[in-house]
Amino acid sequence: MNDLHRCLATFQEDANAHPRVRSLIKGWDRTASVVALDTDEVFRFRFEKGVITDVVPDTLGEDDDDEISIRGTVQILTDVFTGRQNPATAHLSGTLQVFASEKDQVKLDAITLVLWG
Amino acid sequence: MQARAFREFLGYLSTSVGMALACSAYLMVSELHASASGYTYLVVLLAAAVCSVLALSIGELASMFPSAPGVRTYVRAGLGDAVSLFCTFGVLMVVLLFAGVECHALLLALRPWVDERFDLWVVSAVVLTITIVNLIGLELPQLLQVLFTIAIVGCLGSASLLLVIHSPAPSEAPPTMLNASLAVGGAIFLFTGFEWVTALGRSPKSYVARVPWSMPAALLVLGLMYSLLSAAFDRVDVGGTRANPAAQMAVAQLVWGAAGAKVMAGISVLSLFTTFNAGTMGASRLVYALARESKLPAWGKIVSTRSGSPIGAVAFVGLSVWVACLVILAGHFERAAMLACAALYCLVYCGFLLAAVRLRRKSPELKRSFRSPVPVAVQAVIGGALPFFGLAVLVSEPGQERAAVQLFVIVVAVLVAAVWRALPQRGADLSAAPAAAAEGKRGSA
Repeated sequence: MNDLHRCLATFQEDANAHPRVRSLIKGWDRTASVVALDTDEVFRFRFEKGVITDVVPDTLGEDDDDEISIRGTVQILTDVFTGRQNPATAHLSGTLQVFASEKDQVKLDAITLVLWG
Repeated sequence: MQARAFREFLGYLSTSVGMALACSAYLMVSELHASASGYTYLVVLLAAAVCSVLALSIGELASMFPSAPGVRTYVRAGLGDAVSLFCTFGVLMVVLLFAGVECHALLLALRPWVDERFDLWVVSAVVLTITIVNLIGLELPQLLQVLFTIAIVGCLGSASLLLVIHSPAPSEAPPTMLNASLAVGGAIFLFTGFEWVTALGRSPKSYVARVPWSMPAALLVLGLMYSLLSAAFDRVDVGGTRANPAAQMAVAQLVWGAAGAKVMAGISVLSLFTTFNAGTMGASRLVYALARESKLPAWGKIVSTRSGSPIGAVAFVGLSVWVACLVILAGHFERAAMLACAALYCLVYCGFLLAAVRLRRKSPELKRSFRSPVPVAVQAVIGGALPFFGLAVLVSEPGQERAAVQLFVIVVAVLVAAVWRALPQRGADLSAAPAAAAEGKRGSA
């Protein structure tokens, strides 16, 4: 398990342990991928039944069309998923790319807001 | 695969067209008619061409920063934080002013059926409905959005085409160069909002061609539709008397009679709801993002844990829009607000174009999956001309110059104050362009 994988797993545990996050993602079933642009690593997980499923390493196919795709360098992704960097700021500066509907983008950001303020 | 890509492109196209379709655009057509009677359709096509150059530059910026919220990200990368904040707050201000103009345009369209005494109630009901829809977090299914857009474009286009075919063109003297150039700035107002599609790409591949080309394609559709409406309106309001401020209603009445007027009133309501909803949604997302950046107070980032909607930002936008509508309608500032909106948006578009030009020079190494085919010199010339179009539109309507200029000055003063307050080092030079913003992006593409 590398650094990014470890920090995603920690994020999953923290989010699942947080009652407000569970309330936020209740009834919100989505598949999400996290793509490291500098190392081509891909991780996938699901928001399902009010929890985040295990984060699994994967590969990026030609026709991948996840409902949510979060992309950035390993450094940015690690900073964002550990709460060291505000994801909204990273997104506004263009360093973090989030492909999802506008509503889903706000929901994702809200999760980090609830977790880290 | 190709069919799927085409469907995706059509989705972006209809979103881009739908964002620019607004009730107040019909009002602007009748205003333009007063400056360039008989030749309004040419002015509209010229403005569409100017916007197409802009659209291609915005497409390039979008390919550099896929999924990013356009105005804040692109302008900051190219021109720095202060200019970016000015443009972002400018867009928010336009949403407020625009709301008042939209309501006025809707009330004009509904006037045969709705008495003036009920104006306040109609406006309040519209704003409240849209605000509640956004607070709950309801979203219009994309298929319905596409159908709405097709209905509006089809109805307006066919009514205008029928009138153009069946009525002889009036012979009018061409407008002076001055009047025509004054009108171009106003005509740009018809297309505002087309660029909001840039944040909606589904994947990085969407930014290679689909998102960038959807904007010029949308401008082609809108340009043809509005030029047809303008040409049709030439047959209704010969001489630019401004006797029919609601251009779409006058055209429909003449082509299809009373039934047509009712259909067009329905279309106007549809236009208003789609634009208002998109404006409220987009503006509240911007407010939320700015609050998350600590550029606006913390209430802007309150989110409903049930729906995930940014309820603080939506409530703020809804309340501000309602107050703006009431002030504009009570003070009869509709025309001045429309001209100020057009002028302000010319400045915002200037920001986009100059950001694209500057990034070509400053950061040629940044990955661009789409490049504007328009030469940089042409982009720079149009970018430089846009503020002049904006200032010209302020004095384009006889009798409204003073009110429009005053309102514009007040709005700019408010924006400068808001930027000053939001900057990390208050008192920093507003024209400064911190290089750090662009530096941080090198790793992203």
